[in-house]
Amino acid sequence: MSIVTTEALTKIYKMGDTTINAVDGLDLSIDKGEFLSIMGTSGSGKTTLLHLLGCLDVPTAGKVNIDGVETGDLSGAALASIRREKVGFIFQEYNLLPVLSAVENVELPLRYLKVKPAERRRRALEALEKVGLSDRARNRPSQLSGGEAQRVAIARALVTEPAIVLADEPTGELDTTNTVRIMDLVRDLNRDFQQTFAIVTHDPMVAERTRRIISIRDGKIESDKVVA
Amino acid sequence: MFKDIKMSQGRELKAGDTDKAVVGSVLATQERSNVGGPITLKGKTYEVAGIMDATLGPTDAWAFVPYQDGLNTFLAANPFIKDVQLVQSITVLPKPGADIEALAGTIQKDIPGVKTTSPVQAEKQISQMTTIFSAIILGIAFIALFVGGLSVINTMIMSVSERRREIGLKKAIGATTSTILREYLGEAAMIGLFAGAVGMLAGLLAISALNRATHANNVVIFAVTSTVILGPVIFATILASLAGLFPALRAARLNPVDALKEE
Repeated sequence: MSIVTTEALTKIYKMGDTTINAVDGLDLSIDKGEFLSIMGTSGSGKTTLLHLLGCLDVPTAGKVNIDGVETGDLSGAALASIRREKVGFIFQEYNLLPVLSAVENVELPLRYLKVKPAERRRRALEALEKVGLSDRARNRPSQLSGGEAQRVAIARALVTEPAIVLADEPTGELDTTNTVRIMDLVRDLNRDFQQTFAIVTHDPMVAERTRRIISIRDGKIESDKVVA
Repeated sequence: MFKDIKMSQGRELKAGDTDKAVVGSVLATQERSNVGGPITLKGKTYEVAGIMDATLGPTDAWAFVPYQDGLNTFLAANPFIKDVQLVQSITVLPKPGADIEALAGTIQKDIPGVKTTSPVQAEKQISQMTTIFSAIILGIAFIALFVGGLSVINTMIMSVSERRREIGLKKAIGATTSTILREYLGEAAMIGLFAGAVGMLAGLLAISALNRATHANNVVIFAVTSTVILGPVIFATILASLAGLFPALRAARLNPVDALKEE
């Protein structure tokens, strides 16, 4: 069952007189429970594609359907509600709020879903347990290592049980050991909870740990391989 | 002018007194003077003839001495003045029913070298002075308000602009524009409220110190009322909210992708 589909998805940037087709008529279908990577060099359009999939950006043309919702004609507030309910994000730079503790950072998306405080705390602690960081719940981001901070960010993406988790170079700031650890964690989360993941990366070591590798070049799909 | 002041102890000065003084209540307390005891004024020792009732006016800190004693003290302090017939002013007390304005005019016309000030003229002079004084105070207040307001606006713009990335993240994980706006406006209002309260506290401390310093002369310079306390705090809260509104609105409307790119 497809959880995310795109149809002739196009994003054009205008810079003065030149136009750049960052995403160029792209058709894609992602099934529930998939664990895939989107590979490409910088400037290939992979990050723009991720932003379009996550309703962080609006396409110039084409369609994105997330969990049965056509996103093309939605208002800003409606797109925010898609991001709230159906999408989880993981960023390269973790993007944790420094003034909040780990568990409060994880609670943040639930706050925007208007979940009650006690329920919020319970679900946030549960998500931290899934990423193996229960003992760091009270720590501030500044007291966490890079690997730990990214695991908190993963817990924040998981806490709403979204249809898909989108990750933008999630291991970009990490060393090899932590990269392997994070990828193993994501693989386990995918296997144990059927959580769908799409990971944008330029790192082959990351891509080869996923089960489907989509290569993007000049805003088009160059190859789409399912790995055994 | 001072005829109405009653004696709380002793007697008033009378013609022929020398080296005697009538002392105001505050001065008497300060100098620990008793009727019949000594008091030293401008280096000269007098016998206290009487102590006046408290009037809550400036005379409470004054002492009255016989004309000749006062003149001697004055001339000793100002050796360049030779004319011992020096008189600075004479207070005229008209009989009840007299036309004071006409009387003032007559005196000025009939006695050469004398300039009279009638009650109407005196009132005019005082009100002129008060108006100028009020204008100066008001001008200073407006300058302070303007400078303070600008710095509040600047601070709010900076603090929200610095956090565009944070706003981008919040939008990415599902906050709507109005949620962001509410969050940051609420924060701006809280900052304003807190800052206003702290400023008010500092102001109250300064006022109470000033009032204490002038209390000895029975003058209360600053009256503290609920309007004086609440007004500025509410004003600070509203000002900070308004100052936060513009940058918050701009940041909240940002495309999350652009906001996240900010360093």
